[in-house]
Amino acid sequence: MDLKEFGRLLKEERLRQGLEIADVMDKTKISRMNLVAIEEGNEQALPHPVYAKGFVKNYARFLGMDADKMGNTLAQIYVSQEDSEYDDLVLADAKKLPGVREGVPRAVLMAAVLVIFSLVLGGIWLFKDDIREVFTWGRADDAATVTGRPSAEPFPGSVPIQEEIPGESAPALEGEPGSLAFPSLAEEPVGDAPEDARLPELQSLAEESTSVPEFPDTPTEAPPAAPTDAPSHEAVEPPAPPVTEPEQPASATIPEQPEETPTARAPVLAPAGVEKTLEIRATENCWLSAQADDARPREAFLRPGERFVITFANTLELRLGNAGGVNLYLDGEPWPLSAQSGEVMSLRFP
Amino acid sequence: MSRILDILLGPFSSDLAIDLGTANTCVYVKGKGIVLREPSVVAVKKDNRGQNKVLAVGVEAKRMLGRTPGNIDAIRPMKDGVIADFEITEAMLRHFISKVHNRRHLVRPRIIVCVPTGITQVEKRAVRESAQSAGAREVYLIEEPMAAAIGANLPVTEPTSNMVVDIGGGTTEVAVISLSGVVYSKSVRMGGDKMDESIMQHLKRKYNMLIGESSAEQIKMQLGSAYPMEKEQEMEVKGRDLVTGIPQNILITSEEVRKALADQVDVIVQAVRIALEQTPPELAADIVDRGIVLTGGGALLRGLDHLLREETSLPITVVDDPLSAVVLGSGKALDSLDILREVTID
Repeated sequence: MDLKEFGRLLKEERLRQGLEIADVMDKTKISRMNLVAIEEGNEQALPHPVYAKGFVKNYARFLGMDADKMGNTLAQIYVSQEDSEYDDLVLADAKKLPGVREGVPRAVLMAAVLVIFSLVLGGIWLFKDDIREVFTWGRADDAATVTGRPSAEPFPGSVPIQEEIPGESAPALEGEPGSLAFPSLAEEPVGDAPEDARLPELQSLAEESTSVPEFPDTPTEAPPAAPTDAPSHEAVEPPAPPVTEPEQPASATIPEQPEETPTARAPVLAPAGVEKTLEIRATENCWLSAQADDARPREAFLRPGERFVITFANTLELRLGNAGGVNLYLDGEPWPLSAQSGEVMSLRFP
Repeated sequence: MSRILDILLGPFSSDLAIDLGTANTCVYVKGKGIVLREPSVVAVKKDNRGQNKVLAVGVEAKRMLGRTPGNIDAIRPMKDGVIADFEITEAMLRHFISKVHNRRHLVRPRIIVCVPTGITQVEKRAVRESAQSAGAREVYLIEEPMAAAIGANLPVTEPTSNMVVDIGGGTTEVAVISLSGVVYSKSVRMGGDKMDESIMQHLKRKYNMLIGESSAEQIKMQLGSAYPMEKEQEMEVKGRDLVTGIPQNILITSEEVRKALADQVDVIVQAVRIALEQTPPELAADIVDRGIVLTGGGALLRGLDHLLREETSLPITVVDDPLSAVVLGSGKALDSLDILREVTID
């Protein structure tokens, strides 16, 4: 329906009731000009849509038609065109200058967001190294403290290696528990303990972390043997090598395993013969940085009496902050080092 | 510090338009539309230490109006279109703002508030400060008839006159607007509340019966009219008999309600007449053609348009949603900053 048809509808209704335009004017007080414009559907002469809708509603009500329906119909065919124009007008008005003004804060906002984002990223990038350093520092310290124990002298070099063992050997053990674990353990006096009790023991030897939740089972089901074998972490650590080494022949005799075990053991056991161990004993406070082979440099700060032990296969780059305050022992032999206290020295082994 | 935060976080806040009316408060959120329409009533409870605690706001509080025990007070903090109780208004605004603006802790919204024309500087300041302490970053004030005209979609920016009559709860605003400015405006302190009062007075005088505010409002909405209706209606009213002191029922007709309201309606008609007299001739000529636009809750009074049409011999248009025209208009002003700058007042 367009405006002309809509106007005709009203006009026909008015004529049907035998009313003149003047009668309508008298009752609705709508001016003749507007009434004619509505009836003829003359868009140019019609007032603003809001007014036109009000007029049509009044007119329709006067004629006894559904005022709201007529009003809404007009709103659909007339207001929509005009309103969009009006909106355009308002928007155009609004965007003449403020469009620029509005644009600037948005750009500034975006820039601010970008700057903040890049700052955060930069911060993370900067601190990433620090975080790693802190981490490695902690590890170096661990090594130093472990080696502080006199009895553990041959061990400390293998501390990082031992860390690898649980990860590598655990799958091997868990993958073939029946074939691998039983022959090695069968000779032991624990043999008469039930299977459930033995498996956790094995796992506790191989993987310290899993041993903790399993413990409650072992004392109840295997009363005499279990406590001696797996009482706590520290007790587990020393017997670890003896247990894993007997496995080596055991696994070698089994034909299913040979491919996996050598690869798993290779980095652990093979270099052990070639590896050299450097021990640094501090007599004064000394900072040092050591890079064994291609590994990440490790840093440590030694106080008098402390030791730092590092193992390396091929090369070791050592940097001492106070070369006069330390004594070096390579594979247990004193290594000559002539330096003044407070002298900084870079060394390279071999 | 808070200013820096405002500048940084400002773009993240959603601006609000608030029609702080005597009877109802509407809140429009930019980009969302009208999200809240609640009565401007706050129920305050006095605790043991004599401190006031806000118990309920809006619809809940309105249900308590006139039904409260001694320690609870249901207050309408707005009177005659302006703030009568500063602190309660602030509490109400804070409640409404926090209800619609979920990120209220750091981000503070920009708020546009409608005020009646011709309110004093003190009253303007009260509105501004209560909105600010309720958590607004910036407060703009807009005159109600202007907001109503924008909300009714009238061509306010054009050089033709638009006459708007906004009948609210506390005030009736008559204004002639052209070129985004108010040519003439008049605010009379007459509105829905006064109509309720006269209905109460009428029942008291004629039937010796006391009724409450909400019952009076109910009668006004169901039976109220300004012009004889084709079919008169009746309604049962419950209240307390003044003589016997016993609650009772009576039957009243729309005709007597119309008589009770006649005085108040006449005030509106007179205000419109005066406005027409004061309008410059060119604009008056436009008004003859276009007539008068009615907005506000009072425009829903039956036959008011008819009466005004008879009295002024001008075509009268009632906008589609008279109750929300004002807040819609303020919302539109919020949407386009240019209009906002032109129509806000200091």
